[in-house]
Amino acid sequence: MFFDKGRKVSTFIEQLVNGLTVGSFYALVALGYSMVYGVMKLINFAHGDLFALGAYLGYSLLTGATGKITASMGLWGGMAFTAFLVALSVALAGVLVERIAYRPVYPSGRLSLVVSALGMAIFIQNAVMAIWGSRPRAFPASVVPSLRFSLFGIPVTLLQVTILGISFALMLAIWLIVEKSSFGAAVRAAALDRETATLLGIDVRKVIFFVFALGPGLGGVAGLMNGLYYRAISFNMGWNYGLKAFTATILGGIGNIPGAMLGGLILGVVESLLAGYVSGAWKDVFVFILLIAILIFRPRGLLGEKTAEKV
Amino acid sequence: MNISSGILRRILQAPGDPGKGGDTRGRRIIGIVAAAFFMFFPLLPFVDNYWIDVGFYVGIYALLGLSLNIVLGEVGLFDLGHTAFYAIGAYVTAILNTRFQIPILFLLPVSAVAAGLFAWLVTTPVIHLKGDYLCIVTIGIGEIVRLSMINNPLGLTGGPNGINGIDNPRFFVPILSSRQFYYLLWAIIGISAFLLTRLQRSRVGRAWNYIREDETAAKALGVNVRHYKLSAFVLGAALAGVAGNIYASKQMSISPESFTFMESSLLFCIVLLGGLGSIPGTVLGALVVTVFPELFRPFAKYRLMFFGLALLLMMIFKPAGILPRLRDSGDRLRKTLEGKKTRKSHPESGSAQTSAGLPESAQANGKPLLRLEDLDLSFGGVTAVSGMELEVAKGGITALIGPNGAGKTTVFNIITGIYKPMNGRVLLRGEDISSKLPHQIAKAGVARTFQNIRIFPSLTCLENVLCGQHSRGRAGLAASMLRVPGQRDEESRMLEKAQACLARVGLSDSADSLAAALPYGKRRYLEIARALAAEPELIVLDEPSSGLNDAETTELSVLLKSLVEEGLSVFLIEHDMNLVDMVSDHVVVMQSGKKIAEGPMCEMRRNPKVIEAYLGSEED
Repeated sequence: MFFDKGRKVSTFIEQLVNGLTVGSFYALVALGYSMVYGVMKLINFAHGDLFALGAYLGYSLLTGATGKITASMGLWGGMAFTAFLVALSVALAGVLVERIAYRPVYPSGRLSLVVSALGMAIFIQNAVMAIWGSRPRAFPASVVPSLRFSLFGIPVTLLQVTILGISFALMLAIWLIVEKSSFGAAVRAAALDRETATLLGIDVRKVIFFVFALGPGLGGVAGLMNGLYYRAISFNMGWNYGLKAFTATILGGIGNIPGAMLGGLILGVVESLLAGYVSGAWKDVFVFILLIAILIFRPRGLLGEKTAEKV
Repeated sequence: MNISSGILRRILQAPGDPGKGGDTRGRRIIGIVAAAFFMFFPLLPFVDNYWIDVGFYVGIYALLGLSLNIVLGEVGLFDLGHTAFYAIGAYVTAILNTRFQIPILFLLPVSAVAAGLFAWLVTTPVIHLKGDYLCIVTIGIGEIVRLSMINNPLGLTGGPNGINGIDNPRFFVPILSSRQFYYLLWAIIGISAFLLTRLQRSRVGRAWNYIREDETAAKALGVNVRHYKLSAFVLGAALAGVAGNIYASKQMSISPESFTFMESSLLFCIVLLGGLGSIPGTVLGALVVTVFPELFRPFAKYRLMFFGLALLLMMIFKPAGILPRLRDSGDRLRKTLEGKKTRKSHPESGSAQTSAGLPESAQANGKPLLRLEDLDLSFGGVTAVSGMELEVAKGGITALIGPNGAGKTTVFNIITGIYKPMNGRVLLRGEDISSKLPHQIAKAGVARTFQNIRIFPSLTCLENVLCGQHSRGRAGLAASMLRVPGQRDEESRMLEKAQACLARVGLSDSADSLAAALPYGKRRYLEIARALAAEPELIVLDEPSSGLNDAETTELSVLLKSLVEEGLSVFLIEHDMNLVDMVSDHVVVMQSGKKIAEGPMCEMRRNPKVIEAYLGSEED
């Protein structure tokens, strides 16, 4: 087997596809961190738990009585319906998080915001546990048929193609909104300088509403897809995914939208290759060492711009 | 009823209250009551072992809270991975005890040193990172440590199951019972709180607070920011290592589950809940965080949900914490130094000599004190200063003028070491200081103020001015905790000097009020007093008259002239041409990063280049 070159190449490609799939989850979650950080200069510690909430809502929609309804819509209809409902409800949760935990605390300064963000994260995580229980839940098998086929000579599953397709479509949409639309320009202006943006007539409250709806909405869909991909979900999965996605945000340059996408995909691939070729147990340690190294050597990330401190 | 409400009012006094910064009597009464409660709690008839153990865990969180408070509360560094240091202490104890049967109490200092050393190693390369970035790094460190413990490197940490069979400590008799552990732990907390309180009232503790309040101002006034940030991390980690040691020996087994990000978040919340930098507040925060879930045990499923909600509500309704730190008044600081003092106070103190201790007299007028040669600095292709040169004469007032954006403040930032020039030299008394760090330049005799006032808002005016004296003292961590005679003398000397400087600018009455409570004009004076307290040879003022009314500006000119009479040299940026005319001996005009003219003000008014660049609009 050691001499089987063809086998080695195909393993490498499998790792790569797997890495891209996981990376697209990170990228979608990282977008939420990055948009919120850009406008609010705040790490939304509750974001990872909103991702978990998305996974659980998806679970509920695909199982039990509601599962029969979604199943009756056919494969793609049911999936689209589920994804839409998950995105909508997690977006609503995101807006509520901003209203309840951040807006009233904003005047008290950054430290208080960190604590209220942590408080919100603890609340959501334990609310999920109270509703769905502390034991892991399993997504129904083969919601998406476990079809294997070859795409341009690369072996993939239908699920992987679906996930990558949806993720890239969402990322493209976000990129177009942020870079090309006038509303996206308002978001970028608010990220650059909130006060000046306000003076220029940009309704920053609207921008904040937008980022707190869109970011968690994307995160919720990522949670749903994560559940479909790995099938097992647990109430505290948000911490770990949140931390990884945040690493991706830093990797790409915090506050930078294309950076978050790039960072997520790179992180997924790096992680997958580390697990495949170095050590599965130590891969997370390497990821965090990488995070620290980026912050030391290139704190503005891959695509971030340099800013000088004013004295 | 009256008495208690009075005490209550004092305790709840908000930190931002204008007026006097600290009536601590009410706090002390409560403190004594609380200490008595913790001392007798395990002996109360209705308290069983279960509640004594709860008391023990309150203690563990209190000790961890105190250790994080040094980093987060005193210095304001966002440390969300503090559990890593606690884990190092616990694992060092567990490994050395189970493998080599080294007694637990002997391992107590070993754990402290190991955790401190680890903190030094991992924070040294990242200590320059700001705010959220440092926060993320600490989260990363916390996760790296926890995941490493799970992965069982070299078979040392026992993997996910951890290490079992850790001994109990022996202190003449074996410490076994809940009650014994309780007393061991709370004795250590008592000693720690005592020493930390001493640190708060010392040069070291104040330096930490200056960094928290305004890092740039702190370093420009002589605080070695890097050193103090590291020392806070090392001390905080060492204390967390102590907590790890006691925890491991009480549990007799440890596993990575006890050292999660959730634990670090809890510690963060304890410090904020109690009140940033407040020692009694941190202990109270630990009590709340530990006992709250215990009380809600019947609702097991929902208790952490309620807890998250409670944190949120707390931050909405009382963001300063339950027991915010009260600042010490000048009298209080002085009292702590009295009694056991070895020598009498210094005879020369009290007189307001601003440049005391400097060898040369004011008469050496004319010789350049500061010389800038061929300075270049650009920011990302935008030239701020190019080929700039000038001289500041000793014992006079030199003014730097020029239109907005000419690069004046950049020149000041280069002189004080905030920016490094790309080319050229800065010579102070003929010695090149351009490669020195801001705090070294402050020590060499250059003190400054800032264009957009940078005072330390939540410290008292006296504490603000004491910052200037920082570079004139030496006492470190150990000397401040043990309060050795040399440190006492130094402290009282610093206090006297700071009070003299406050008096110099007419702010003696405000010594004990918080700087945030001062009106705008007085804040400028406070900054000047702080710079004077650094005992500089050259004082560098960035637009000192901006925001002052006419009467205040006249007052300022009188002050500046008298400073020169006392031997100080002054270099100022100014837009108020009348003030420049009134006080300056020499004027340097800048435009687009270059010197375009220099000479007395009356000549500058006639110089065509200057008129064209700057004064033109006024003279036409």
